[in-house]
Amino acid sequence: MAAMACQQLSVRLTQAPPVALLAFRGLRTTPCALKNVRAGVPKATVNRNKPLTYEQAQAPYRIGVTKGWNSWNTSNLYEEGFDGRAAELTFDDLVIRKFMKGTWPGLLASEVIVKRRHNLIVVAALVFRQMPARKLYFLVGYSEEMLSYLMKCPVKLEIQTVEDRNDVVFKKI
Amino acid sequence: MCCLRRLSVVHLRLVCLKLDKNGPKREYSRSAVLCSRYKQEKRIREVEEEFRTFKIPGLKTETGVKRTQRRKMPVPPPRYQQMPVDQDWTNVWPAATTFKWSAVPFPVRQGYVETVTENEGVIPSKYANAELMKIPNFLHLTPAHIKKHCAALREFCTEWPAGLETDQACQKHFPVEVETSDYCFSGPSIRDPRARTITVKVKLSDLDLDYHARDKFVRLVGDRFKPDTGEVIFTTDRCPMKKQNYDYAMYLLTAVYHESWKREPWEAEKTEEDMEKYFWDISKSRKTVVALLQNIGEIDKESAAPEEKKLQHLPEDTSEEKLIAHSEVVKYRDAVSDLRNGEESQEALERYGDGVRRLLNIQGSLS
Repeated sequence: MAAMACQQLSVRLTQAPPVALLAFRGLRTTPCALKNVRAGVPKATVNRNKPLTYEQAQAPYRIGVTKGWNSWNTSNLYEEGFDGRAAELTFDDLVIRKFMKGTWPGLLASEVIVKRRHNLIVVAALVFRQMPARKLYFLVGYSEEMLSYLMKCPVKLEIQTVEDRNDVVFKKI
Repeated sequence: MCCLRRLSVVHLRLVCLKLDKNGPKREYSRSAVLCSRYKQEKRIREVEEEFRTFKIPGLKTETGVKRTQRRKMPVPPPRYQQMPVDQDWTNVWPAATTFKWSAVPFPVRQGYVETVTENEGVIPSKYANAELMKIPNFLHLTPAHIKKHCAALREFCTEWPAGLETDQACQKHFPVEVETSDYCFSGPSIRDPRARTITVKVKLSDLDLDYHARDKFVRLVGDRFKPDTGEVIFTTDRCPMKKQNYDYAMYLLTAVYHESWKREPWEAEKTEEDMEKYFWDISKSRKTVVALLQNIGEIDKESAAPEEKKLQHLPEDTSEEKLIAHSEVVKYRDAVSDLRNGEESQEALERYGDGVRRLLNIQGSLS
């Protein structure tokens, strides 16, 4: 008798789970936090007096929508970059940006734009007019020469000067 | 201050020890020690006498030293303000460069403004606009530029050869078409592995082939033959260089052409099942028709009156060669071949029906 009752109980257990377990069945999901769009977004100050350029004011997810790329080359186009050229070019762009930041300390008014046509590298940037023109011309020649040796191809600097620091301010946060 | 003194004493001791090691110069070194000690004590006294001020971090006094303003360099006005209206634009913008606001005479704005707080609600103008510097411009490819390019290139051009005015003429005189590709990209190298591929196209009708050779050619090249255009397309990319692949494609074309003209002994073993299409001459239909007509002819010979003959058109001599050349049989043969080889159509079917009725003298029609 006892064995029969035990068998019935086991059958019932396998057929239907206890009521307490029913609450935990099914796929459980959590709401999307959307926290992965925060990178590259500058933090606002209390007094709202932190100047931002247009480039800094647009969040990274707006690249290709409200602002363009800072590196222009063919390696990321469709059916290109099959031989690992994209990685090389990206690293070279990084080196160029580091070099420009160090060679033009506190003078750069914008991001360094690196454009490539065939084997020519065009480096474009906005520069403050803090230095005498003579020194700026020296820096242009120096940078072109050094980068040409580093990149092993002709490098052209296309620099444009900006009168005042406020000229490149797009908004203040 | 006590700490500072102790440090200076330790320092002096170290100096003494160092100097003592130099034996013979002891007298000189002692005076040097005295001198340096005097200097140290004087410095300490100066520090002690000065009244130390309490500095609050972050507080800026109004009486601070004002930074001297750097004299601003005179900058010439932008070029677009001095341009004449009828200038030659190709002299201003001779080659591809980054957008330069000072040389572009038209107003242009680029950017996206969401609220009034951004750039006072106005889309950023061309001055100091990095967005305009990023995007490629075509200010070096205006119609005036293109005209100059064409004028410069004209002296390197040769006249178009006479007799090749139309595409048909080109096709006739140059039946072999070779396709190659060169790739331009941004990188320090001009090599691209995709450039090695060669495509050679030739129309099968331009090759000198008989029926057997054409059939063998098509069988040899397989799916390289496109029946809808009648072209044979060889694509080679197995060699590393373009020239090698071209040579290989030409070798393939030559080899297939000569191979298709060869007649191997085993090709004679081709039976009706191996045929690429219906041949009436080796079909069972021919044997049946010949046997049937010969049978009817024999029956007709026995009948006395010519009016009672079943088939009036049948020749006297009912040998196989004569029957095959007989006009009604030829019509029947063509009708059957068309029906089997061509596409199915009402006309072909009716022609076949008529052929059968006239061959066997069947009166009336089914339709």
